[in-house]
Amino acid sequence: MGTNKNPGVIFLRSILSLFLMAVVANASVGNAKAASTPTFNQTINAGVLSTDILDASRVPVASPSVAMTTKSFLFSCASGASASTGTFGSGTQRIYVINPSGANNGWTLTMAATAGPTAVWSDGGTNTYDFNDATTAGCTDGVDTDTKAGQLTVDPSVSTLTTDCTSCVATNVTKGSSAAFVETTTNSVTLLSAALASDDVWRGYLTGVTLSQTIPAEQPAASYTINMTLTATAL
Amino acid sequence: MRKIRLAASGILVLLAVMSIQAHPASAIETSGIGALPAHPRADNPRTKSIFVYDVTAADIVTDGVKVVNNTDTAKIMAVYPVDSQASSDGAFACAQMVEPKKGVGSWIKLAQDEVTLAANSSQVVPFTLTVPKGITPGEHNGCIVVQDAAPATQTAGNGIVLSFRSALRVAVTTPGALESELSFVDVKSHDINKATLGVSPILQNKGNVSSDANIYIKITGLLWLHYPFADSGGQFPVFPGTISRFNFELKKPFWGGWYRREALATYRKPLSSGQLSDNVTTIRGKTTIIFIAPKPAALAIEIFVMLVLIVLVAMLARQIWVHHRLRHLPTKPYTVRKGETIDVIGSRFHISWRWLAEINHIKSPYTLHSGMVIKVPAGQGKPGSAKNNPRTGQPQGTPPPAPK
Repeated sequence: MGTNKNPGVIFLRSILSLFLMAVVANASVGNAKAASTPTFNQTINAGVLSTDILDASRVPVASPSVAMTTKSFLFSCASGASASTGTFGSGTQRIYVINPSGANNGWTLTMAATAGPTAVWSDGGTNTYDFNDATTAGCTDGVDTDTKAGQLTVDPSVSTLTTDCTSCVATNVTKGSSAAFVETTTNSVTLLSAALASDDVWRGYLTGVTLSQTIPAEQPAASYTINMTLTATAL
Repeated sequence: MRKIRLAASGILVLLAVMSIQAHPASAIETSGIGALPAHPRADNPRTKSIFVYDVTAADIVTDGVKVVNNTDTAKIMAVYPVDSQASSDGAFACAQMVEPKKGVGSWIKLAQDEVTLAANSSQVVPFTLTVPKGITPGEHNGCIVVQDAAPATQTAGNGIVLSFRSALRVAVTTPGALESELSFVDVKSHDINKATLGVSPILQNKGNVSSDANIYIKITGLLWLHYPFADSGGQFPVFPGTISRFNFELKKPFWGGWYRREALATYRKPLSSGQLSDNVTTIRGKTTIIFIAPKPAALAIEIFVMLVLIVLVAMLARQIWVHHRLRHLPTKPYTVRKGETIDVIGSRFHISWRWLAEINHIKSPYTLHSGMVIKVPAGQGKPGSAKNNPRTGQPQGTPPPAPK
């Protein structure tokens, strides 16, 4: 094995030698750094009060909605026992409130129509009926801003409140009373209220909130929807 | 080779088991989107969670709201101010975005109404709060709300389409005559289910600032040594100008019955903005006697005990009545003849031999001797008229076995 005297080869060998020296030098510097005190940075974002519909694995439910019982066309008003009913919150669609110390003075969970007190149930076309007309329990149009009858009653008092955390308790968290939406008087229904002394780190959910909607007489047959918003408010 | 295969299979099985057990831990820990005050004050711990301002008319406050996305996906979030409103039960709620703003919601101007946040990140949105001139003294409330800017979507069919939002209360107090006047409007009770009793005190705040009321509910047994079986309550805010209802759930007593229901609340009145009196004001709700139905097992036990008591009392009453009647029955002397036993004489005079024994102080074994004079009912039976001994069925004169 003879020695290569080619200048190009000698140049390449020199570059390779310098590269290897640099690698060795870097490695030794790296070892020296590893021997010093390392700094690890970790950021945990501040917890915020929030609400959502989650399933049993605490995964957010895509496009959560609450189905109401289907009613046949009626010449008379469907109210009371014959009203359309639904259940808000189930084993697979839990109404969660999560408070990772974001609201330390208590909080409320309320439900209201997204479009405000003038909202209506709509089939997407011209057919609508009201959700907050108290006249004759929703069977007659009253002196509100629309010309539609109908009223939605929400009853969280019959629901089940379950805590879902290691050390928090349901003490100081109370369920709301049964309430019907009434334009200008009751634009929002309270589902939960947490007292000042409630656990600052709290996670729990409601299931089985009952809903009852009075359907006005001779309401055209169609599929109706209404947009509602759940709000978790820090007090 | 076989051992190696066995070991490899064992390791594979172990890994499979470990992967199954590890699965629950991979459940998503959603924390959601929300907001916090960007600049909490050291002198007021409440400002870590909400905005609290003690200001005068025409003041302009500069502050910021920290919008937080604690989800694992990037979010476009709407942030906006609204007025507050009383929800059902008098609870605090925030108006909807579309509702016209007349109060604190109209005083707040945010630098941005939409924020784009990467996963697990936050951003401070500055805002100004301008207090209008001529504002009345007292507490004025509003909200700063954060929600996903994407509109709610519907899957199919009829029903309610849901959106979610997180809000922070904005409490603005302007100086002047500050009042907090709480009173009980009512206290209601109702059965929630077989095991739970609902008690709902209803309080009114006629003042112009909110008060944190410590509410206590106490149910005391009337018939069972007055023991308190249930206490409940908590500290809840009662907002100015509202009637607030608080729903407490108490475990029903096992035995049921009549109970005394008491409700009281304590609070401290305001002295000035942010200052509360050292004196605690106590108000009481109307004390009421309520009936609580016993649980089914308790009801069965109670009915059984009641029946036993009734039977015992009836037996005792009958005994007393019979004794009283017989003691006052007129008697006459009777001379025992040879071979007569006490039950023969009793049947002859249509009277129990036990009564004869009792009024004549004859002890067991109740032996009578010929010529012995005893008392018998006057005017009943005839000496020697009884044909058979009604107790033994034997002809008269046959001595009965000694009563035991």
